[in-house]
Amino acid sequence: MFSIDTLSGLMVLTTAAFAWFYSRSFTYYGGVFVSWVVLILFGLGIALTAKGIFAAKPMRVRDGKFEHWNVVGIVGSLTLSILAMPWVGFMVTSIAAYTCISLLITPRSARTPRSWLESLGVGTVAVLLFYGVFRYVLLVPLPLGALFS
Amino acid sequence: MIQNFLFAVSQIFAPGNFLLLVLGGVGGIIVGCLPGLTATMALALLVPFTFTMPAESGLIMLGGLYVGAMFGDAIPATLINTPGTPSAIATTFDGYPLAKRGLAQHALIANAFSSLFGGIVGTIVLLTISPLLAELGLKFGPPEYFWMAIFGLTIIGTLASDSILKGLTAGGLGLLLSTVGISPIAGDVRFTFGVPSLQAGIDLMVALIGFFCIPQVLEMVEAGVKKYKVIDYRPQKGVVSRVIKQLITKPVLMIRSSLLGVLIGIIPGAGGNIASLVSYNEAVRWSKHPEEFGKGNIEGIAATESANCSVVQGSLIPMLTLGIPGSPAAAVILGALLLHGMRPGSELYTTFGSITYTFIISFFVAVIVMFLFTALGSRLFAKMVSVPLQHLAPMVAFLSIIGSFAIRNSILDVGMMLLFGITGYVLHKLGFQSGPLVLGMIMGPFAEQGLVQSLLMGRARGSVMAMMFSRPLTLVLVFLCGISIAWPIVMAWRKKANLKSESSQTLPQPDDLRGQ
Repeated sequence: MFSIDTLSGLMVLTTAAFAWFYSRSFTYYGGVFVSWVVLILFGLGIALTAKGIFAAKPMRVRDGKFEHWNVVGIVGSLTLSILAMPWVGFMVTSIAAYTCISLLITPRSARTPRSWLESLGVGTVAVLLFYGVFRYVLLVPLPLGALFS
Repeated sequence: MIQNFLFAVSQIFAPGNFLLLVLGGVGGIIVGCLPGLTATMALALLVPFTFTMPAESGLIMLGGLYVGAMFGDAIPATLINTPGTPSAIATTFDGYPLAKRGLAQHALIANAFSSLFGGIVGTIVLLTISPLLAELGLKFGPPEYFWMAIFGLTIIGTLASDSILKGLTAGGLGLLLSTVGISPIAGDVRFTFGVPSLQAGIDLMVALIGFFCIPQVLEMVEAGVKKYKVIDYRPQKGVVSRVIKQLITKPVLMIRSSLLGVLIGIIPGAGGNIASLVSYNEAVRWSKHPEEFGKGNIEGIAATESANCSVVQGSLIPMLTLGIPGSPAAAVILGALLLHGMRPGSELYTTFGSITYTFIISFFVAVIVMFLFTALGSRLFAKMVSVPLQHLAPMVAFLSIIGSFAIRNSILDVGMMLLFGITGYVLHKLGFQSGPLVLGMIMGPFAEQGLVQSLLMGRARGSVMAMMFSRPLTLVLVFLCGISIAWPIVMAWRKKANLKSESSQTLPQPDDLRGQ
C-alpha cells in the first residue's frame, strides 16, 4: 500500500506533468512563470515521493464506513443539485439538497417521518429566506430554471 | 488624515452601518460558539452578501464578524472545554478549569475583557504602522514584488503545515491555479480547456468558498453528531468590575500578550492558534507562580485571549500594505477588497483612504460592542452550541452554493466551488492545508507580473541577474526567503538530533546489560 507521502508526491508529479504538457505551446513571456512553477512542483513531487518511499508512513484509513458513505452522499447531492439547477431552478434544487444532506447526517436510528418533515420544513424556510434576501434585497437574479421560466 | 478620521466616525455611526457592524459581530460570536465552524469560513460565506453594499459598509460588517468570532470562540472553550475555533485552543487550559470550579462567569468576563484589550492594542498598531508600511511599499519595483510574493509563500508554506514539503507544495499548486486564464503581459490563453468563462481566471472568492467551506462541511459530517455538556452558571452582581479590576492590575501581561498577538498575526500563516499558545507559554515563563497555570488561572485566560484578538489586526497589516494576508481570514477580506476594486498598497491609504480608515477605526467600535455582548450575553450564546449538525452542515453547504453563484451569476462558478471543495477535502486527507494553496492563488499574479516585468527590464538593461539579485531590497527579501525555508529544516534536524541523543542516553549500555 502507498504511504500518504508517496501518493501525494505522485499526484503532484502527475499535476506538474499535465501542466508541462499543456504549457509547451505558450510563448516565452506567457510561459516562463508556469515553467518555473512546474519545475518547482516536479522537485517537490520527487522529494515527497522519495520521503514516502524511504520514510514510509502507513496511510491512515478512517474507521466507520457510515461517515464515508455520508461524505459520498453529500458530494453526490450537491453535484446533482448543481447539475439540475439550470433546468429545475435554484429553489427546488436547494430545498432538495438541504433535505437530503440533513437526512444523511441524521443518525439512522433517528430517521423518522418526523425528522424527514423537520428537515424539509427547515430547508424550505431557509431557502425561501435566503432566496428573498438575494433576489429582492441584494438584487442577485437566482436561476428560476428552464422548466419554470 | 483628520478628514478621513471624521468621515470614518460618521460612517461607522450611521444607523445602517452600525446595524451591519452589530449583525456581523453577533453572527461572528455565534460562529465562534459553534465548534467546527471557523471565522474564515464565515467570512467567505458573508462576502457575497456584502459585495453589493458600499465598500465601507461591507468591510465594517466583515470586520465585525471577524472580531465577533474571536470573542465568541472562547465561550465553548470555557464552558464545554472545546475551542470554538482553533485560535481558542489555549483558552481551554485555564478557562475550563476555572468554569469547573464554579467561576464560569469570571472566566467569561476575563475572556471578554482580554479580547477587548487585545483588540484595542491591535487596532492602535494597525492604525499607526500600516500607513508607514504602505509608504515603504512605494519603493517596491517588479523584482521586489516578485521576491515579496515568494517570501510570503515560503513563510506560509513552512509555518502553516506540519510538513514543510507539503506546505511549499500547496503553495506551488496555488501558484499553478493562479495561472489559469489570459497571461498578464503576453496574452496567452492558459489552461482554459476551451471554456470561455475561464479566460478571466479562477474567481478568488469562488476558490475561497470552495477550499474553506466544503471541506469543513465534509469533516463535520465525518466527525458525526456530538453532544456537549455545557457548564451552567448564574450571573452574579459585581463580578464584571471585580474581574476587570484584577486584569487592569496586570498591564505588563496584557500589553505583552497583545503585542505578541499583533507580531504573530503579521507573519503569514502563523495565525491565532500559534499566537495564543506562544502568549500562554510566555505568561507561564514570566509568572512568579507558574504552577498555578492550567488549574484555572485568570492570567492564562488573559494571555491567550488578548493575543488571540490582536491577531485579527496584526494579520491585516501585511494584507493592507503589501497584499500578503497574515491569515486565511485576512485572505478572504483581501478577496472582498479586490471585489470592490481596491488593490492593497499605498493606494488604500490615499485614493481609498476614507474607506480604509473607516474599516480600521471600525475595529475600535467593534471590540467595544462585542465586549458588551459577550460580557452580558455569554450564557445565551452558549446555548448555540446545541444547534444540531443536521441543520448546520446543510446550511453551510447551501450558503456556499448561493454565495459562489451570486459573485458572477454563474452556475459554472458553483461547479468550480464544489470541485475546489472536494479537492480541498482530499488534500486535507493527504496532509495539505488550504491556507498556503489559497495564498499561492493570491500571490501568483503579483509574482508572475513581477517576474515577467523584471525579465523585460533586465533584458533592456543588459542583465537579468543584476535586476533580480542586486537591488538592496531584493537582496533582503532573497535572504529572508532563504531563512524562512532553512530555519524550520534546521530546527527539525536539531530536534531529531536531540531526540536521538536523549534516546541513546536512556538505552541500556552494554556494561549495564552485562551486570544483569
